[in-house]
Amino acid sequence: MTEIECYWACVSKEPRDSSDYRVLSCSADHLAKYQALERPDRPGTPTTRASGRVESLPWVTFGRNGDDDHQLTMSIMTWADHQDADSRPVTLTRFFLLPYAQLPGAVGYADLYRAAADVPLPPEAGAELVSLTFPDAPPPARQDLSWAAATAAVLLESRVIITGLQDASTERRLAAVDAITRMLPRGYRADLTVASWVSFPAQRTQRLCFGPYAAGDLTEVRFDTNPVPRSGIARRYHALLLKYLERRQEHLVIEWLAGYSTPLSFASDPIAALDILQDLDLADAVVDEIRNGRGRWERVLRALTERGPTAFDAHDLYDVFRFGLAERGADAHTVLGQYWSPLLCSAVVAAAQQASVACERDRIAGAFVPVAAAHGDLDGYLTQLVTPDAGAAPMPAEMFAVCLRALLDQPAPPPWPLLRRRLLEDVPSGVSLVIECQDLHPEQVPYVLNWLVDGQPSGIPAWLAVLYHIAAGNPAVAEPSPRLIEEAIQQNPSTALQALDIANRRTAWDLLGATLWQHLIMIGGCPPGDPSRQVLVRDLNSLAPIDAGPRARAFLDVVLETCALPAANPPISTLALSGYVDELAGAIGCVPAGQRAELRRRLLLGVTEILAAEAPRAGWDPAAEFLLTVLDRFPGAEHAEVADVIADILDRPGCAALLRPLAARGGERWERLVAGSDRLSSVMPWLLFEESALARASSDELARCWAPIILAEQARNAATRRPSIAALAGWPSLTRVDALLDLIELTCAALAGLGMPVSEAGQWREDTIYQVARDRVLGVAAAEALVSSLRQAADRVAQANAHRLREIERHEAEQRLQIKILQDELARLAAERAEMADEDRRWEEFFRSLSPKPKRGWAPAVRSENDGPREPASEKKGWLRR
Amino acid sequence: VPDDKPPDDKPDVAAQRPYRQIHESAWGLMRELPAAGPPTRPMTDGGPTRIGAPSTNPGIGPGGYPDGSPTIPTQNGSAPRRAPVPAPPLPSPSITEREMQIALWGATSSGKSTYLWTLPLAAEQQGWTLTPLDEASEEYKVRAETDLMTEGLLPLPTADEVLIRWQLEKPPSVEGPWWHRREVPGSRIVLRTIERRGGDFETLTQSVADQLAHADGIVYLFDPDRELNPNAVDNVKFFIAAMTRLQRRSAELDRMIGGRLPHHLAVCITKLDALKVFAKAREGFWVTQSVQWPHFPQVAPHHAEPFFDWLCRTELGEAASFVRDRIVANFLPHRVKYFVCSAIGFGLHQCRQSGGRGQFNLSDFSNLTSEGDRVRSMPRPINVLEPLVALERSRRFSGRFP
Repeated sequence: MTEIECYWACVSKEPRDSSDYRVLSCSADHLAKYQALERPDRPGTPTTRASGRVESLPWVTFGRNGDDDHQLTMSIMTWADHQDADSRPVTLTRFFLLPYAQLPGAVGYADLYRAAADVPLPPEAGAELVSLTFPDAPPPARQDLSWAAATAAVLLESRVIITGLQDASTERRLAAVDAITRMLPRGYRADLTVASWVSFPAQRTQRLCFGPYAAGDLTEVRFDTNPVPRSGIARRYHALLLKYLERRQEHLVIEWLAGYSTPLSFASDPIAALDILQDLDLADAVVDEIRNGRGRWERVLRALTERGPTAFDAHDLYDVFRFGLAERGADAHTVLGQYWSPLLCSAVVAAAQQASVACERDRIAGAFVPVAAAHGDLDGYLTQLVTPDAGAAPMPAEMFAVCLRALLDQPAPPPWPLLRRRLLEDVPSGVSLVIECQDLHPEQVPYVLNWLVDGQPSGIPAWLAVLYHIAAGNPAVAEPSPRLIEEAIQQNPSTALQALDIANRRTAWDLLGATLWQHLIMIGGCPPGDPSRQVLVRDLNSLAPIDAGPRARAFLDVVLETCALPAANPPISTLALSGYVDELAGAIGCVPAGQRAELRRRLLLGVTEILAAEAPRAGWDPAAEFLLTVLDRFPGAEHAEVADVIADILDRPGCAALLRPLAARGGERWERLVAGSDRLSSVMPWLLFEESALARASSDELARCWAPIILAEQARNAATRRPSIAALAGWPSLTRVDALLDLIELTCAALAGLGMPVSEAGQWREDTIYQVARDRVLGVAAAEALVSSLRQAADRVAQANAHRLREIERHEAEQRLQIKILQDELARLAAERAEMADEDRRWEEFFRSLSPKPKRGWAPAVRSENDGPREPASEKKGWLRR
Repeated sequence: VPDDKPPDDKPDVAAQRPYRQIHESAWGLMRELPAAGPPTRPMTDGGPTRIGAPSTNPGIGPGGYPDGSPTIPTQNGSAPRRAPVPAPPLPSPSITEREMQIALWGATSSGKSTYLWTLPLAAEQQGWTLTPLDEASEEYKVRAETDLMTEGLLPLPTADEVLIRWQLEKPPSVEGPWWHRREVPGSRIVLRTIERRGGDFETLTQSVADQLAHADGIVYLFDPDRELNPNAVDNVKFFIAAMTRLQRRSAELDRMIGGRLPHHLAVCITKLDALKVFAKAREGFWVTQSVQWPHFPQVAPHHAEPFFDWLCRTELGEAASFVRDRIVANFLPHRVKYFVCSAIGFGLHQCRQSGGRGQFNLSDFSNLTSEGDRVRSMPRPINVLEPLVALERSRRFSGRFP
């Protein structure tokens, strides 16, 4: 039992009183205060003195004290036993001022009424207070909770009047009020005004009252019908309440709301109720928001900190963790880390796995490594990191990177049996870890392999045995057999590549062995988009600088030795020639062009030389096929390298025969290559010119071949090969009279035809004649034959000049005679022109002498009327004159 | 519902002169007064005219009627009878129409609630309609009429104020003898008042002061019965503070006219049916009898002010005189009207007379039961509607709104 002392007042009239209602007695000196407090919460004038009606007294009202002490007022209006001076019935209003803060939390309005209903008030004003006794555990309100919940929600948005009462007693009404207010945070009671009945509801101010009808801004709620909230806040509040009622968790929500006793105002804090209830519902609300895509990190954080992870079931908590990780990424570990559990572990792995960006995956997974270590669960966490779900895609590489970092961060090789077993049993996982190590910490690969093997190499998988052999370099470790390598490659197709990488690191390519090299060449023969080929390219690109020096020779020796094995090696020997050269070309193409250009050129040249060396036995077709395949496999920008290599080969003695298979097989590819390469475009005519010269071609044919070569030589301003004229040394017609001179003249004409200026062409002819005749570049016989041809030509020129001289003299005589005739005729015509001019002048003078000169006499200033006709010359002139 | 039981506390009227004698004396006295009109003429004989409307005194034009309305010739050649012309309907009230704010002012139990309680009935009995304009007003009217007509209950002491908004409307009609028929246009009063307890005028809250100061008219209910009761608090206790505050607030609002209050005031001397009050009126020969059924005694309208003056000066003591003097001194004289009222009227004798409708009995005139909380028969209010009509007319004639 709780006893509370409160202030009181009695408002009524004295018997036979002719004055109005007033405070007849009160505690202490609070008369003015009671008058001020009593007025605003008046329920109106009683409308009947009859009992048993809904509007019958007693009327109980609960108000609020406007002061900051948040005192609660309660007035109970009943009929007094006496009448006033006019014999009218008089009401007695007992007024109490209750300390809101001291009221027990479970005490409701009905309890207050029960406690105060029968308490006698002191007969006169005095200092004593009235004690009200409340039970500690008041009886629960028997009320339709769904109705109370709906009414409470409506009460949040507007004033409420409850109508439709049939015979509800005051206690039952107040019990209904209690049921309603229990559905609201307790703090609203500081602002709530209640009346068990009001007359003229429109002019009352109670927030919640019972009355005959709704009016003004009051929202009507039938006592027997659930109302429907209108505003969004109220509807959401109602929905939350209903959710708990449907779950039969009304006690939970009532206790929760009762815990918020901080005074609240309906007018200014309508949303506070929703916030408070949402706090209770925070866990579920947060999960709902997350699942509806409206999750907010602040609320999740608040739900976790205020409600704890136990407020969520396992599935919801997993979603919460997932949301936190998705929202905050790696930063979530500072908050979520304290809730470390297998659920969080799974959530982290899933979040990291599904992160769209690789670095984010790495950050998320890595951020929780210290958390897992702090909770002693690092082995399990890392094992989960590298273990995909059944049927799911393999784990991203970043997971293995995190594992690797965790492994390398350990001061000593950690036991981690779960992780080790997982990596050994699941080949892709183990391989991924080694690959990540090769990518990120290549120097630590032996350490990682050693950790994996753990000193027991006998029971390890084949792929690991192969890599362990190359990485360890331990003579005690047996060299893997081809069968083991095949098994390893079957387990891990990238074994050869990883082995190459490890061998590169150690500069121990001899440890690879022919079998692995052959697999590398096969990988190199894959299409450019093949991932394995890309890895091979990457590995070759990451080779140590071996372009020169003994290491380069060693590498080349190994590679070229391997290339020369097709006949000896059973796997390769079974391949067709075209397939082999294709793989070979692809493998060479894997060598990066930029950084390893020289290495690639030397590989290309070396392979071509190997094939050329086989030409006497197998012909030039394999070499041509190889070069053309290289041409196909190389991108267009790298064709110049191939052209240079071909030009180098063609420059070599005895290798010109390669030209014909290339031209025959290459077709347009070959023509484009020649057109795009200066060296080939200069080599090709030269070779054709030489071939033509050796094949007894005519001067005309030779001139057509020779002229472009001469132009190319002059364009480069230097010969790339030996001077083209040297090719004529083998020309059979060289010593024949006039043959060489004809060739020079025809070539000079062809040069002019190809656009060379005539003077330059003449200069070339002169130089060539000097080279042959004076310098004897083609030998003495050719010089003598040319000089003889020149002399004969000079004679023919002299004869022609004499004949022409005679013709000119004859023509000059004829021209002089014609000039004399013309001059005579001109003189005659001039004399005739002078005679005709003189005759014209004489005639003019004659006619001038014949015409008389007119006399000049007097003329009257004014004409008389007889001076002529006075009629106008025309009608128009006459009208004008009139 | 008339109370069949005879009144337990019959007024002691046997010692007084018969009412008929009083009537005849008064009637003779009135006929000797040159300026006074027929004292028995009810105030509402002509009906309330529409204030501000054109004069309805038509001169007879050459065509018979000034407005040229058709006439109906009679068969015997007598004067033509004018065809009844329906008067134009009143325009429907607009929300912009200004309400007449009336302050009901009076002491506790002076009859304010009963005044409003019986106002619907008075309006109905005089051909007016009363329409509530909001829920509270509707509830008030329904409750008043229900309690009054079913159980004869009078209002309980007012515990809290109620704002009442009623529209009183009288439809247009054609009145007068057949040779002088005239149209009486309709009238409308939009009433807005607050029923509050009389104690408020004693404690005088800000709400009371504001209501009085902003009111267009004030119906001041003067309860002479309170003054005649030696144990009761005088009216002046509920008057002085309110009057003083009213003056101050009106001055603050700059509404004073020549140092006087601008309000239109209807002073209602209430409870004419009360035993002591009626006796005093009879003693002063102020009571006349209505010529119309039920022939209730009344104080003629033009005698109301002298009656109040006489009552305060000679019968009720200095406190009442003080009230009267303050009213005269502080209000503009032409804006003060006096009425002698009785909200519940007099009771009718149980003996069925005058065509079975009952008749006034001077020996048993009270309309209250012995308990005093209900009426014996249907109330017939006296001068309940008239003060409002007079205030409305006065307000319109004043040409300005306070």
